[in-house]
Amino acid sequence: MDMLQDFLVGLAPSTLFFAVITVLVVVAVIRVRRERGKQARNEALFVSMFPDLQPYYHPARVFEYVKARLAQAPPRSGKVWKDPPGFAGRTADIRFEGEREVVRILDAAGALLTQFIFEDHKEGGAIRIGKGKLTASTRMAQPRVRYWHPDREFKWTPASWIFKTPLAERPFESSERGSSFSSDSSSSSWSSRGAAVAPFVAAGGAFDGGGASQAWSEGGAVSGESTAASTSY
Amino acid sequence: MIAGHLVARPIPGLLPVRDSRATLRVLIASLAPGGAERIVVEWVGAELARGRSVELAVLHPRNHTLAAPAGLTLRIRERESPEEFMRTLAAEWRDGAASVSTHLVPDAFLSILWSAGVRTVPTIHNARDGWRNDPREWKPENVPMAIACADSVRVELLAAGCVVPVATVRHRPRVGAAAFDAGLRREIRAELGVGDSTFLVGAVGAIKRQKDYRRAIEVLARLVKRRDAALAILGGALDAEGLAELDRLVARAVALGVAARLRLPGFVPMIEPYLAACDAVVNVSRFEGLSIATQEALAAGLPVVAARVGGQGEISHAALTLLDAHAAAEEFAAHLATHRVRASLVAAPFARAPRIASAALAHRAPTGALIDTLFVTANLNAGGAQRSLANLAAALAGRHRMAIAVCGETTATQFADMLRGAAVEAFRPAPDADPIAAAESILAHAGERGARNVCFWNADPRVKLAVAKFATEGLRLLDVSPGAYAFAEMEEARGFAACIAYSGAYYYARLDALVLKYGAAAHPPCRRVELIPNGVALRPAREAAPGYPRFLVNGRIAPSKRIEAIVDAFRRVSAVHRDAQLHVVGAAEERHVGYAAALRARAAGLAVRFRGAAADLAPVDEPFTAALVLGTHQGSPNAVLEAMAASIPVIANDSGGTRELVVDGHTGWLLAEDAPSGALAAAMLEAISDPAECAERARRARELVRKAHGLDAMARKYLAILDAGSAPRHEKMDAWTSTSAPGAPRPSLRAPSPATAVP
Repeated sequence: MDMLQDFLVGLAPSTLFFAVITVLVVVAVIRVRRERGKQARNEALFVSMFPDLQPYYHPARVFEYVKARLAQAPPRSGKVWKDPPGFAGRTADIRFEGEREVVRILDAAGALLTQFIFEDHKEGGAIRIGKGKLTASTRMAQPRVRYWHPDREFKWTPASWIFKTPLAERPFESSERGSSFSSDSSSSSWSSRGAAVAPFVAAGGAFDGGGASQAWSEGGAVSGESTAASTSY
Repeated sequence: MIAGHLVARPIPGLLPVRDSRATLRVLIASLAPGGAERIVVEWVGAELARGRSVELAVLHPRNHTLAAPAGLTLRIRERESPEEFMRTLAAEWRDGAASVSTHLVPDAFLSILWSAGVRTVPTIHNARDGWRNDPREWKPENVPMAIACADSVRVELLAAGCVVPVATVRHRPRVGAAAFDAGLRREIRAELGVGDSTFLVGAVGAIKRQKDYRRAIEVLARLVKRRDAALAILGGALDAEGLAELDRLVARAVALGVAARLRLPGFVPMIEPYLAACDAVVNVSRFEGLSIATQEALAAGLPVVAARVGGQGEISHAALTLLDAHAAAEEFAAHLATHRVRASLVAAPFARAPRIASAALAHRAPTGALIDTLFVTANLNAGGAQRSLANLAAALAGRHRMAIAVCGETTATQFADMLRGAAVEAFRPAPDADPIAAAESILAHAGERGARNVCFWNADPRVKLAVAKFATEGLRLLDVSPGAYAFAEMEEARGFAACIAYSGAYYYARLDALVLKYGAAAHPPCRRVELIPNGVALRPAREAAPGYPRFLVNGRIAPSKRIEAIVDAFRRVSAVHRDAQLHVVGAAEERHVGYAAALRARAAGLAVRFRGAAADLAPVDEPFTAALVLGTHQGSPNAVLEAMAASIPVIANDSGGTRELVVDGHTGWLLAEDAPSGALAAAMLEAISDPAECAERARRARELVRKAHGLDAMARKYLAILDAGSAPRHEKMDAWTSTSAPGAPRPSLRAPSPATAVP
């Protein structure tokens, strides 16, 4: 310790200044990299858990589109929207089919990339795609998007994600601090504690609890199992 | 069509069913998706499907759970504390006769059951690093037996100082048809965003450190350098530690640039469609008990590349590649790269015995009327083995406390009546002939009755294997074997033996004594081998021959008795002696009705009388020129002995122990084992032509029976074996002189040397 003190005292003030600056810069770079890493991790979670939303429906893009769409409603006759927010470089071909506002995203050659239905929503706007629905809240201070699907959900803000998927026992929040079980309880789709809920399987796989065995005949021949599986005793 | 009296059909209700199996009581930490939980649910589901009463208690509720099978009594802890829950269980279960099966429940909770007198049989589902119990603390009065999910785990338990018996039960998972459904494969791959040409690797199991999914990510990173590939982790995080591990594995995927190739569907409702979607499975666990995930993937026809840890080496399957536990990711990737994107889905299932763990719960304290020996037999049909058992039991009645467990249906009343008349208890141990149910009930019955011996007498080899595997050391096991036929049967049961992590070799090593009925040239090694030929009661001596050629066939109508050769021989005899008669006394079991009908057709026009089964031995008191006994895999044939005892000359083939009774030219006619009908006809004609010689051979044969094959001599020899190890209680019996041959060392469920212990 004394040696370190002697060393620091022996340094010229300018050298000390540059050393401190250097340390601060390094720390800042590390922090930025770490933040980026964590952000990338969160994005990776989104990609890996929601393959059905890839690559067009990142909530940030959805928010951009909804916000822009709400700002300029298309006529009932439809609209071709070049380079719409959230779908940069693409074209949104908007048509009304009955009451539904169907949006087809086309590439530069006019080929269909994806399509969805836009809906007004009291919080802003919503996009229906497949079995899922993305709802963008445009009236809050910061962007918010939530996704509902029969099997998986998320809530997104630029700072964090809350995932409710079969990936975890309970909803979990993923932010720059890492993942933790969320206190969010707004959803009601989780089964009540203590109940034997619908079968979920992993860590060993699925099965329906069906009886696998059959009686042996007196003669001792092995009975086959009723499924495509194996001999069962 | 065949006359009804020639068909031996099962007789319902002939014997009472005394099923000593109790309600199956199981305690598990939770039903969170996992290998251990799946084992329990498959096991109790299989028992439920057979009508077994099951109570399942779950200590910790979860949101994502396996579905408990319908029909069981399910109790999941709710608001009470775990300790209160355990105390309630203890109060309710304290009067149960059977032990409670426990899974992943720590000793602190088990001790609440123990203090209430509830015995437990813990199953250890993981390698030592994953244990929740300290097996050194288990005492036999609380834990009569423990189960290890693999031999490697069993060895660890014993090495850790476990003093209670440990049996290995390897569960093989059931994989349904959805694992081979091409439509589901397409659907899941589309859902995951995986293209048709992408090689999809699955990794199955909850996200936790043990599974080392970061290493799986590294494998993926190496693999994508070789081919278009993706990795789907089929499992989720159960707790904060799991979430932390999730963060780490995703961060690793980002760092290695493969995040876009990672799929995390989490806990999926059915694994089979996902297995259908995959092209291979990787298992890089740091430690495993016996991986259900690996086994189900193999059963689904997927190649698996896995680390050789724990019980992985005990999985024998052509599609399994095991690598060193510390093998580099590159090595895993290289092996995965050798496989193709699957074009067809083909099952490769394991044989299974999901209910075998029930037999581990059969320990009982003596409560009922005590017995010395529980005999176990397949049936009481009209056969030689059954007759010798009935003869022995009647001879021992009053001298030895015993009961007879009859595992299957019986088609004749005579031996059941005989036993009833001798006040010998006979019962069915289970409602049907299922070997696992029978084994559990037999063990439980032996315990309740304080039996010292279980003696197999013409029993299903699967029953013998299952009983021997779970019998505790204090229970002596004896096998009375007719010889080669029984050994061949045991060999044929090797598939079942493998299913229950046992073998014929272990069985014979476990036996306290193997009793042979004749001096078989070859038999499995056993630490004690005894020779006890059958004995029969002497009939009155008779000199008079019949007034015309008259031959007897006395026994079951079955192909093994070669009665068609006898009919053919009789045709030749009839050509010479038109007044000759052939009397066939016996019936065919239902499976041999076709054979019996063919025989009747073959005998058309001949003086062959098919008399049906006889209720007693009265036919041998009739005058006959000779009794004809052909057979395969004979032991010490009662049909021969009974004819000899009744002064009927015997013409027999040289099978098994027949040559010890029939000495050609001295006590009868002994033909080659595969004697053709011509040779048999020649012997029959010789017997007809020389009544004096016939009578002399019959006299010598009867004398042989009197000297060496009496009932009492047989009974004394058996009694000596059955009473071995106990204080002599039969002073009038001669001391038994052993002709034991040295055999294999005695195996033990509690062997001090794990390496040599029997699972």
